[in-house]
Order: sequence, then structure tokens, then C-alpha cells
Amino acid sequence: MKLGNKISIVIVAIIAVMGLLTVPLISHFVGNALRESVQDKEISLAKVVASNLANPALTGNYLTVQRNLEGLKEDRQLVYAFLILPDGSILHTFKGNISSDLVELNRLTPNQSQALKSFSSNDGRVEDVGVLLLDGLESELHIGYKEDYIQATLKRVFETIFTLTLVGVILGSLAAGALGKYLSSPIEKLTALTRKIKEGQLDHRVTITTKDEVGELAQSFNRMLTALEESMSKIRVAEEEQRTKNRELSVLNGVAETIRLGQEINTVLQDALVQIVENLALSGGWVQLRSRETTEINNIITLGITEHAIPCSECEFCECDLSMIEQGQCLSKSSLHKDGRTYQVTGVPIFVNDRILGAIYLLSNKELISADLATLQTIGGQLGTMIENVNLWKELKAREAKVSQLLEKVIVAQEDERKRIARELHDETSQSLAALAMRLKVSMGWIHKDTRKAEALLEESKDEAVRIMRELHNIVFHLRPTLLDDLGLVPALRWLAESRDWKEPPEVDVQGNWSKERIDPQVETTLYRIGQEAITNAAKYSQATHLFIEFKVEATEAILRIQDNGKGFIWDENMFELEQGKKPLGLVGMMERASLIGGRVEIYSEVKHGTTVEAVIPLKKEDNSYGKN
Amino acid sequence: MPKVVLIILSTILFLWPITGCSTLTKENVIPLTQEDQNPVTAKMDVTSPVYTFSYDRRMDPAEDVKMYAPFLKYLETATGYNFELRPMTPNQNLIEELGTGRVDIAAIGTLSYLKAHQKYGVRAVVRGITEQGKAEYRALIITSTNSNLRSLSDLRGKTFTFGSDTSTQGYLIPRIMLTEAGVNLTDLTGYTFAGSHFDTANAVISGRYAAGGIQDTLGRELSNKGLVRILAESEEFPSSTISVSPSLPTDVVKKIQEALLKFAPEGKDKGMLYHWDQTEMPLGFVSTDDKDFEKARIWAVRLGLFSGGTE
Repeated sequence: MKLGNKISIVIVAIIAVMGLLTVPLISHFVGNALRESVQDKEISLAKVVASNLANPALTGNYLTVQRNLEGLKEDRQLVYAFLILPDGSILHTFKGNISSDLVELNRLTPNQSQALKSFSSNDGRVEDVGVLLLDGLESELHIGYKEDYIQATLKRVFETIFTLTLVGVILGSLAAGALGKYLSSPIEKLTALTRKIKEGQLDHRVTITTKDEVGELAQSFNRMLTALEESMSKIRVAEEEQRTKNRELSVLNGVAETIRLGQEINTVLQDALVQIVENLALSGGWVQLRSRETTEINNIITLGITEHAIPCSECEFCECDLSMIEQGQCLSKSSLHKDGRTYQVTGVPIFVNDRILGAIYLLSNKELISADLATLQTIGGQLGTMIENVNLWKELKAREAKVSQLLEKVIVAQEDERKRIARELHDETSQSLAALAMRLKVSMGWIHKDTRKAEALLEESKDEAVRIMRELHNIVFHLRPTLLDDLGLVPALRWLAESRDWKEPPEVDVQGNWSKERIDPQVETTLYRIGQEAITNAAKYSQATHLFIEFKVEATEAILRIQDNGKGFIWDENMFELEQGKKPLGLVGMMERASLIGGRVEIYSEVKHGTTVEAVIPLKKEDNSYGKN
Repeated sequence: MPKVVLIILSTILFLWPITGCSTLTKENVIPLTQEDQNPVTAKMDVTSPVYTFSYDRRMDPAEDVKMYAPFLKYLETATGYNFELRPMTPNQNLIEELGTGRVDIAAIGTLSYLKAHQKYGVRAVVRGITEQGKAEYRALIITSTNSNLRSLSDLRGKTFTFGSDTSTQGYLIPRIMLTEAGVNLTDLTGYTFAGSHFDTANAVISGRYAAGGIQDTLGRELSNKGLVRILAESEEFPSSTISVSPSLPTDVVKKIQEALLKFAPEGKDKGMLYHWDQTEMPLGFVSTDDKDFEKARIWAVRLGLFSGGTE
């Protein structure tokens, strides 16, 4: 049921109940008041009459009393009057004999001065009023009044009140209906508005302009709606931002999860492309990677599009630098017709630092929002970093392999060196010392027998000791040539070249700009060992007739080149990937030695055209004192 | 909604008794008259022992009733007996009523007492104390303020009004005063018994009678108000009595006498009384006996008002 109807019904019910209450209550109270008023007057009149009758009654003037009583009957409301004298005799106004029932009907008790009694008589309803003629005297005056006129008056009062109440109920009902409508109308408006709010329509407002509480409620409601609308708008924006962030995070996370070191770049890029397309709900895309040195595209990964459908493009973002990327200037937007549909193509660069590694292109049904573009740019950087990391990972792995090989070679070299020292000590020094010992023992035997022979033997022993000492010196020199410490790198290398066991000692030619100023001992030792390895290899394998040693100290680096004109060998970069045990450890060792201090070794060889080994070691500023002198 | 209906119904049910259902009750119809022509008398209460009290009419009949009714209430309270006020109708004689026991106690003046005592042996138990604080009173002879009477002897050839022929102050003492002044009833142009002191005052003030004998209390009051002029004042005579019927038991008499002696109309009992100060016993009572009335008895006999002996 509507509120207005409820209000109307309740108000009508209240008015009706109040009417029902009012009619009997007012009738009751008015009747009582009227009756009391009439009774008061009746009693007053009776007392006045009694006072007037007292003297004639007490003086025995009963005729006077009788006339006075009959005079009262001029009052049309009076039915009778009678006086009971102290001796019990009665004076009354009736033409006939008074009824004894009437006489005894309303007698006063000893303590009563007045009494009222309403009764039905054969002349209608009568109220008998009894008063003492005088206080203290056993004489009563009784006057009977018609009650009908009181009843008639009460009836008129009742009818009037009932009519007024009925009119009040009708008018009240009409007013209640109007009031209900008036009160419920704004509430219905508000209710309708709440339904619209429930449906999410926050742009509606209620138009109640009354200056009462309902008007204030409506204004508050409108203000609440405005605030609610603003809040909802903020929430929607925040949700959209959150959704975008989530999608961005999801894409970034998905892309990040695809990046696993050790996997091929193409595999990683394919997985990343799938993540991007799925998370951003795109139609497809492709990734182009360019070669390191040129702008040429050398690698294409596709998803949802065949490679031949991809439009040809140059290195689109090669002119971009990091600041341009960060400012969002490196974006391409174009359209592509495929399978009868038109797609938006959005391209973003794949970059690391300032380097553009390629681009990623994505197909979408509509233009991407700026948040997605920002995400794609981030992904471009992410993929660039990933590609860089994969490349670095590969390099690291290769270097680890080389270090491992070098370690192996170092161990082998150490063992070889130990073997050589042991062999030389055993084969030469030990034999020589044994012969020296024998020669000294023989000399001791001859020293007392033949002094000259003994001296000759001792002389031989001394020469033998000198030779042994030279042998030991050679051994020690090979461990670390003192020439390097004493004279420097170039003289040491020249001595080394000349002291090797060549089948045919070559002509050694030395060039360079070295001076007495020394470079960093670590650089010097590294270059010496690289040179030692190169010279040893040349001595062992080249059969060269000419050996060229060049040493230059530039502003930032020291360069050592060992070149022979020997038989050379077939140079192949893959020779470093040979199986364990077949690796050319000497060459690897040279390269690793150089790389340990930031340098590099490059080897050039051709069959019958000799071999060139070039070591380039970067110098610290204080190391390049060669150039100054 | 059912609650509203319930409230309405309960309200109607609650109010039903107020809305005049009494008209439905069947009631006996009282006939106002009856065919029986025998005189109807009211049933009077005769069951409880009641001592009747009456009095010499002194003023307005109704005023007398109003004065004595609260006095009887005092006696009822003080004695525990019930008393009934019985004013004398014109056909009744208080002396006879008192003497024969139909009235037990009565406030009567000296003359009535002398007659009742002589004829029936009525006993006076107390006398009233007047406003002068004495158990005696006087009578006054008053005239109108514009009268040229200067002494009682001037009354010869004038009209005179007495109160009641049984009244001491209204008749006996004024007769004594006139006699002492040498004025006999025959010297007067005419005389009458007005009935009461009130009537005497009215007769004199209105000028219907040249002078009248009246109770001293009322006479002085009227004189003070300028309504009358006091022509003469009598000597003192025993004031009014409360006398009892010879048939009243002695213990009852004694108890009534004690109550009367304790009566304090200007003290504790003042509040319940009506105009008691206008009686001849405004300050209460003193006990009395027959000897106190000797002088009055001699005068009454001398004036021929009663025989003097015991009948």
C-alpha cells in the first residue's frame, strides 16, 4: 500500500476514533455538567423555597405554606412539591392524595441536608430534590422537576456533536487524503530516484523546492547524489587505471616470465609476443630485430600474421635515442589490410640504452590507448634488455668455456714445466752433479798420491760445476727470464726468439717505440707470455725463416705483434669450439691472458703465408710512459 | 492495519457504558398520587432514644431554629445523647409540653419557668450568662428615635407593645418597670403582644407603637445602630433558664447540666454556633435553683401573671 494511502487511512482512523471518543465523552461530560448545573439550581431553588416556607411552617401558617407550594407550580418544569412537617404530616401540591411511595422515595438521612433522586413516574422522568426546611429540624421540602427537557437538551447536544464529528471526519478524510498525497508525493519522487540510483543512474536529481524538512531531505539527497556521482566517477577512473595497471603489470609480468637466460632469443621473443597479444587482447603482431652493425632486418618473429603479409620496412626507429623514446616520440601508427579487415598497426622500438635493437609491431582492431602504448614502450625496453642479457649470457658462457680451457692449459703447462724442470734436473743437472761428485771423489783419492792429477781433476770439476751452474741458470731463466726484469720486454723477447730451439734459426727483426720507461709489470708480463707462446709456437711449427717482433705503446694501449713467414695454418674461428682435448690451448691461453686485463689477441694465418699474432692491451694513464719518451 | 481495527474496537467497547445504555434498564415507575384518601404521613424515626428540646420563641421562628440547632449538636457531642429540636406550633403550649414530658428540655424565661415549676414541678438546671458576664439580665423600654417621650410616665396615653405574654424580658420585666413608674395597662391607649423581641423592635421602629419592652441585648444593639432610643432600663432579674421536664431521669439531668456548664460559646464551641451572641445566654451558663427566682415570683404574683402557689 502506498504511503499516502496509509497516512490517509491512519488519519481518518484517528479522526473517526477521536470522533467516537469525543461524541460520548462530550455527551457524557456536557450531560453531567448540565445535570449538575440544573441540579445546583434545583437545590438552590429548593433551599430558597425552604427558607421562605420556614417561618410560616414554624408558626403554623400552613395555608400560607400551601399557597406558596402551589405557587411554585407556575414553573412548567416543576411536577410537584411537598413539605414533610416535623410531626410527619405532609403539605403538597397534588390535587389528589400524595403517593406514600413518593413520600418515602427520597427521604433524607439524619446527616443529610439535601438529596437528589431521579425516577420514572407516571408523569415521565422526574428528579426529586429534597432539602431540610431548616438545619436541625426534622422537616423536609421535596420538589419534583421534569427531567425530559434535560434529556431533550442532551439529545440535541449529542446530535449536534455527532453531526459536527461526522462533518469533521469527512473533511478530515479529505484533508488526510490531500495531506497523504502532499506528504507522500516527494517521498515517491525520492523512491523513484532511489530505483534509478539502484540501476546506476546517478545523473538524475529530485525537484522538490519546498522549504520544509522534506525539501531539506531532497536537497541533501541531491547533494548526496552529486557526491556519489563524483565518487563513482573517481572510482571508475581509479578502476580503469587499476585495470590498466593490472593489464600492464600482467603484460610486463608475462613478458618477464618468458625471459629465461639460456634460451634462444627467438623463443623468448615468440613467448613474449604471445603474452603481449593475449594480455592486451590484440589480434597479432611481429618482432623485427636488426643486425648489430647495419640497419638491416635479420630476424622476424610473427604471431597471427604470416611473414609475407608483413609490410617491408627499414629500421624504423634507428634514429631514436633514449630521450625520444622516453618522451613517447618513437611510436608508429599505421593500418594494415588483412583477410578483408583493417587493423591498426602500432610499432614501438626494442631498445637498450640508446641502442635500437629492433621493433615490435602489434595488430589491433582499434587504436591503442596511451596507457597501453606506455606499456608497450616499457616492454620494448624490457625486450631490449632481455636480448642484451641473452647476448651477454652467451658471451659469458663462451668466456667461461674459454676460462675453463685456459685453466686446463695452465695446469697442463704447469705440469709440462715441472716435467721439463724435473727432466732437465734429472737428465742434465743430476747427471752432471753425480759426475762432479765422482770427479771430486777421484780427486780426493789422488790428492795425496798425485797432486797434479788431483789438481787437473779438480780443475775439471770446477768447469763441471760452472757448467752445472749455467744449466741451472737456464732452467731458472726459462721459469722467468731475468732479461724481462732487467732489460724490458723487447730485449727479453729477442733473447727468447734467438734462444729457442729452431730447426733453422730465423732472422729476428725487432721494431717498436719502446723506451727505458717501463709499462705496468702486469701488462709487460702478459705481453711477454703471449709473445713467448707465439715464439714457441713459431719455433715448434712454423719453420719460418724470418720472425718479426713489433711492440708499440699508443696513448691508450700497448700493441705486440709477432709475425712469421712460416707455413701457417687454416684459420677457423670455430676451431675454438673443438671438443675437449683437441682445443688449441696455446692460442686460447693467449686470448684469455689478454682478456684478463681487458685486452685482446687476434690471430691471422694463412697456409704458406705465415702467422701473425697481435695482442692489444689497454693502458691505464700512468702506464703509457713509453710514448712520452 | 489489524492493530488499528483492534484499537478502534477496543475504544468503542471501552466507551460503550458511557453512551447512555442506562436508558435500556427497566425501572420501577413510582406513582405520584394514590387513590387512597386517608391522609398520608411521613415515617418519622422513633426508634432511637431522643430527648426533645424546645424553647420560648424569642425572635424570628427560623432564626430561633438556626440558633438552637447547632446548640443541640453541642449537647449531643458533650452528652452522647440524641436531641431533637421541636419548635412549638401555635396550638402547642411549651409549659404543658415540658411539664408533661413531651418536651424534655427547654430554654425558657423566668416567667415560663415560674409557671411550669408551679404547675408541673419543672426544674431549672442552669441560667444563662449575659454579655455583661452575669447570670442576670435586664429589660429595656425603647421608643423610636424621633419620639418625644422622655420618661416612662410620658407613656400615659400612648401605645405600648410587649413581646410574648410568656416572655420575662418582653413582658414580665417591662410590666414591673411600668408599674414602678406608676403606669398601669389602663393608662395606656392600647397595648399588644407582638410575639417576639424582633416583632417588638419592628413595631417600635415602624412607629406603630410608641414604645415597647424588649430584651436588653437586642435593645442596645438597635440603639447603637440608631434605630431606637432607650427610654428606660430595668434592674437585674435572673436570666433565662434551661429547664428540664420532671420526668427526665436525674442522671440524665446531671449529665446535661454538666455539659451545659462546660458550654463555652465564646471559646472552644464558638465556631459551631449561629448568632449565639444574640441569645440571653451568650457567655454560657451557671447552675441555678428555684430560690434564685423568688423576687421575680413575687412580682409575677403581684402583677397577677400567675397565682404563685403550686397548682
